[in-house]
Amino acid sequence: MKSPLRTLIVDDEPLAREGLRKLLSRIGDIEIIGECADGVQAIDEIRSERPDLVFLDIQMPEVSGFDVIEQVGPASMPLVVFVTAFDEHALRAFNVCALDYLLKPVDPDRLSVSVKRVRAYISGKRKDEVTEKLGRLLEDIRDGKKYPDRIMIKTPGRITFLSVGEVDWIEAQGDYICIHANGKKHLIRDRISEIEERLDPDLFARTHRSAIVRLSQIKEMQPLFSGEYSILLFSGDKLTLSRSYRDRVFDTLKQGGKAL
Amino acid sequence: MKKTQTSPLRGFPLLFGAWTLFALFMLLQSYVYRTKVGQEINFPALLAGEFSYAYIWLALTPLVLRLADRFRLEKPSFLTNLGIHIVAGAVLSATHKFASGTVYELVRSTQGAEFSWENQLHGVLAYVDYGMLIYWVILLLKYSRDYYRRYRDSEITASKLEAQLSRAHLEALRMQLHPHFLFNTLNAISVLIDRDPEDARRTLGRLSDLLRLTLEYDGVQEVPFEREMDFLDRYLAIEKTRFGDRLTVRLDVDPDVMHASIPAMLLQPLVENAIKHGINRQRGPGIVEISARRNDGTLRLQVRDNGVGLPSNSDRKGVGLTNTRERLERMYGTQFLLDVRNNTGAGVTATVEIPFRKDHGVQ
Repeated sequence: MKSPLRTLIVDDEPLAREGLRKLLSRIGDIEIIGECADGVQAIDEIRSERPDLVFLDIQMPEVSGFDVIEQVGPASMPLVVFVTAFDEHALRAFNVCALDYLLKPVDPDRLSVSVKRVRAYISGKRKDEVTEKLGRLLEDIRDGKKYPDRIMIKTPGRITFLSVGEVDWIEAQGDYICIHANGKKHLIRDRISEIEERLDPDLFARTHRSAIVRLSQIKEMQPLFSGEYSILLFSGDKLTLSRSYRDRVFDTLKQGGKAL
Repeated sequence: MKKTQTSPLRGFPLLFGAWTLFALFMLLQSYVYRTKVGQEINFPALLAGEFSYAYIWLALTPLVLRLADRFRLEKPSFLTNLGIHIVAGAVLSATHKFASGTVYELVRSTQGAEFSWENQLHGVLAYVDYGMLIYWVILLLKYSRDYYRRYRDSEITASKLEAQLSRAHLEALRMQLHPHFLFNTLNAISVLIDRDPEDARRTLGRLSDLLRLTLEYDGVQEVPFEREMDFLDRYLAIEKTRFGDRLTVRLDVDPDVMHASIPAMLLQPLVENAIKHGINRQRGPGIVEISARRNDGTLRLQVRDNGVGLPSNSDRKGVGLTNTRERLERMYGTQFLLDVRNNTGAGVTATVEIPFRKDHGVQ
């Protein structure tokens, strides 16, 4: 007995969501766990609900389908079927990365083929393959860059993007992370391990269970007893380099001297 | 005209050449005439007379041109300016004749002739009409050059306007035929076929109308407001179908305005912006308000949304409105206003003000 596919539908148009829901209900063995009308909602739902499958519209205002994958991170993304009205750029990228997509208006037969493929991936445990494809897709969309160059900041009623280039260091604060950038603090709901995945390891390093630092921001490192180090940043902030991250930081610093 | 004022010496070689030619021609004429009549020819006096005559006019020409610019023979002050030019022509002509006569008399006096103020006065009175004729010839040459330039500029402006309109037209065409708009609408229709066949048919009809209106569009610069509204109604109805409860549209149109003439395809991009950047951004119901009012001689069009507004660092003039602005500039000169700004509450208001004109075109 296969368990139903826990599915999320993301589209900014209510009729489009309704259409997919109806068509999916005819296929059966699919449990629609939610509908999202925009990218921000989608990011939240994917993180909290961990669905098996997402139907993801590409052209949504402000936070596009690609932004959703970027912010969630390819590794944490469920299986994705892209849905698009028309976007030559996106279609080319899907074809290059051999990713599945549906065109609007959605053809029911084509939709069941997509669902079959998704099941095949899940039963074949080929999720890693998809993660890799998504990674390539993002790279393609970002013109070859491996890591996103912006971080989404959500404040009530407004979404802004922070350039990764401005980030000095990041600290975990419960369910939130606090990003220190250019003397300002931005609090966003995210896990430090997830944001770590989206940052270039040549430029950033985890120094502690609850901190990530831009290596070029380190001004001084002083050994403390018990093998820990105290790190002084150019911003004046003082952090601790814990023993478990010490070796990796030193390795990166040695190799990545050029990045400094 | 602005161009000639920027560099006062730019036209000098031309003027100098023209007046030198004039002097040479007069010289030739006097020579031929006097030879024919058998008069004795006094070369120094003749040379001095003709050249001083021409070059004093040369010196006065910039003044005449200035007067021509300052007191143009155009409505509404045609009669006043005509009077001014008659008087100015007489005064300048008399001044000129007096000056050139003095030069002539001085040259003659070096040859032993007696300098006579009486001769001078006589000359001024006898030739003032001829000088006035020259004044008017300068004036008319100046005006004909101005009109030629204005005509040429208007030709350029017209062709630019046309290019801009065709761009606006193309953009509007792209909006309706925009694959994104088109396929999303078709997708919406395919969903409606199941749920509400009647609504599906209606939406399909509207989409067809939009495509037809765009294909039929004949490229005129100005259309009656009514016609633009027709177009918008269908566009808005489709957007409302697509976005459902998330989009509310309020129209507030002065009945007086229905027959006003407005630039074709003016409102559609503003409304599209309001929906796209204003409404879509905001989670929760979005409102687009379109108002058109007449304020004496001014037509004021406003498109207002309640979205999150422009980012504080963005250019307030609004990206994507450059084309609209340029078009309005060419059509109305400085007689228009295009303003896009954040509301004090939420969202953005785009305001266009243009001169109110009734459309006289036959529908």
